[in-house]
Amino acid sequence: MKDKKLRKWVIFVCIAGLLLIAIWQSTYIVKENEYAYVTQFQKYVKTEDTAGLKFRVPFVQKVEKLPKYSMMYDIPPSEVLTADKKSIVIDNFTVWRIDDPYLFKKTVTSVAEMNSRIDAVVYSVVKNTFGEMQQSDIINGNTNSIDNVNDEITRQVNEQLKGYGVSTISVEIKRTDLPEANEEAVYQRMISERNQMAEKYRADGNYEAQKKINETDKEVKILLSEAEAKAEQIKGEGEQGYMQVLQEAYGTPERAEFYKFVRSLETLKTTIKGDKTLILGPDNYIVKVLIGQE
Amino acid sequence: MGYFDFQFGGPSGNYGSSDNENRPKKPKVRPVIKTVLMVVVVFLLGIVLISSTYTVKETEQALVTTFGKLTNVTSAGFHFKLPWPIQSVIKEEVNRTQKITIGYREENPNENIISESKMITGDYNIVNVDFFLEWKISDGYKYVYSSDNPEKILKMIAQASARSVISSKTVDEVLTTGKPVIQAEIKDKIQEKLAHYDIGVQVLSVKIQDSEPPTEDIKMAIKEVETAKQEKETAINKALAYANKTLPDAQSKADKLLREAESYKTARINEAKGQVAKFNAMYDEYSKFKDITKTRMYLETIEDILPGVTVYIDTTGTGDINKMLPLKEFVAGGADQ
Repeated sequence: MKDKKLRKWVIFVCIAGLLLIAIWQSTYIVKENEYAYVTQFQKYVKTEDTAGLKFRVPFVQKVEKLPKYSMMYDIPPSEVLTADKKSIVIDNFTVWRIDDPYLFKKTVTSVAEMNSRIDAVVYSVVKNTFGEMQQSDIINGNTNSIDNVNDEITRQVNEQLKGYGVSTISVEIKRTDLPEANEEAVYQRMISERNQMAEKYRADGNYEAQKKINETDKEVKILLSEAEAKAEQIKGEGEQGYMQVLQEAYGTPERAEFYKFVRSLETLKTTIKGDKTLILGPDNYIVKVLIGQE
Repeated sequence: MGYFDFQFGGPSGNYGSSDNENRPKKPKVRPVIKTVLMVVVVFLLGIVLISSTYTVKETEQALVTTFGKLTNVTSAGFHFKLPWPIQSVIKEEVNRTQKITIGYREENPNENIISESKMITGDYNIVNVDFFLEWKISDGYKYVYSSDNPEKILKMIAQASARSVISSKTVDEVLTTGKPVIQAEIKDKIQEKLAHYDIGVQVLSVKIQDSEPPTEDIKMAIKEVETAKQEKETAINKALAYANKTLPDAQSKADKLLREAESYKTARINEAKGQVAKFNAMYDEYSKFKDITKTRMYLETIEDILPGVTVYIDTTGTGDINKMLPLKEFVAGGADQ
């Protein structure tokens, strides 16, 4: 009794196990970011590129998963020479994805192998591209120049990788550096540039200060000379006024004559005074008086 | 199921055989198997139950896949699903703002990672720029499925964008005034590239932490320029001070000259007026008795001037000095002296 029951159990378990194996063998799951590459006796059958539960012929068909997502490959930095023989260290990365799993499996076997091919292709494209450019084409204060270089490199890399069933989303330069020896020269130049700027500021300061002082001195001179001229003019007006007033008073010939007489007397007063000798003729009024002729 | 049976059957069998000697065999085996089966069933039920529920945090979003295919997206809370291996859940922190640092690490902010921060400016200088970006997942589906490592790609894009922008700026813009513009441009650039990569992330902000000259010597040289700038200002200010003092001085001097001239003018006119007044008065007198007044004035003047003067009178009218009389002695007081 008991053995029979046990045997029933064992049979049940065996059948269940076999069923599971059969299910496992005839189905497979494809995730959203996967391709399923199906082969039959090593021969390509189909590619599943939609997610979900899929069926296959058990034990005969094998399924291999390939990434459908974009992959980033960070390429080690490399030194390249520009057309003007300047060397630059270029560090770039590539983002790529598998477009055609069949072609990919046929030409390259794995992602790792693909990366090493990308490495080689990108290096040669970068080297050629930069080899045709001047250093100033790359470092020139224009954002677009690097973008254009990136676009050109991406285009060429994509062209070369197409044959592997792969599309290159982008190759971007994330870093452009100068070799260490050049860096030291740049540092020295930066310092000398700064020194020269400092000198220029100082000289400019002195120049502008002196200019201001000169300007001020000029203004002062002009101001004073104008004032002097104006003052002389005013003084002249004074003289003019003086004469005008007198002229009005001495307007008639009689007045003029009297003025002459008075003014002559005044002149006598101021000139003949003190210890002086005077010779008077006989016609002089005072002499006439003296002699008794008057 | 069968697989599990065998696994759990193993140890339970051993347990049974160890008790063989003391107790009868047959009544013992069945309960043992039963217990084992019970345990297995409970265990499996447990797994089913546990894998049939999941919780999603406030910051998260859950992608539910059925046999690998996306079938549902759920937000925070407690949820049921079909057990493994039918449905599985991928949780992503879509609402959390995350941070990527470039040129330094959060754990040790003072230590510079030169390979990330060193950049060449458009005017061919070298600067070290540290910055960080804040980002979040904009599309959970794309974030999970469209690339192998979105965060790492984002970091690469950020580095490329920063270098591209910095290479279009002058060293002075990078070190001092240009930071806000540069941050904005880097952000725009990253955003523009992300649109191309389409990996389900978005950038919220880019902030430059530090932008420094690469060596101490250069730092000193830059400081020196600042000092020179100050010196320039000082020199100009001194000159302005000179101007501010000198000009008013000159103005007051000029004003003095003008006022003096004006006062001279007025004085001169007044002088003339005075003379005229005096003359008019005299002329009025004169016009009354012309001859007399004239003679009087003449004599008054003579009175005034002749004392002290030696006078010779030439009666001959020839100018011969020998015939002249000295008049000095006749003058009152004059003879004694």
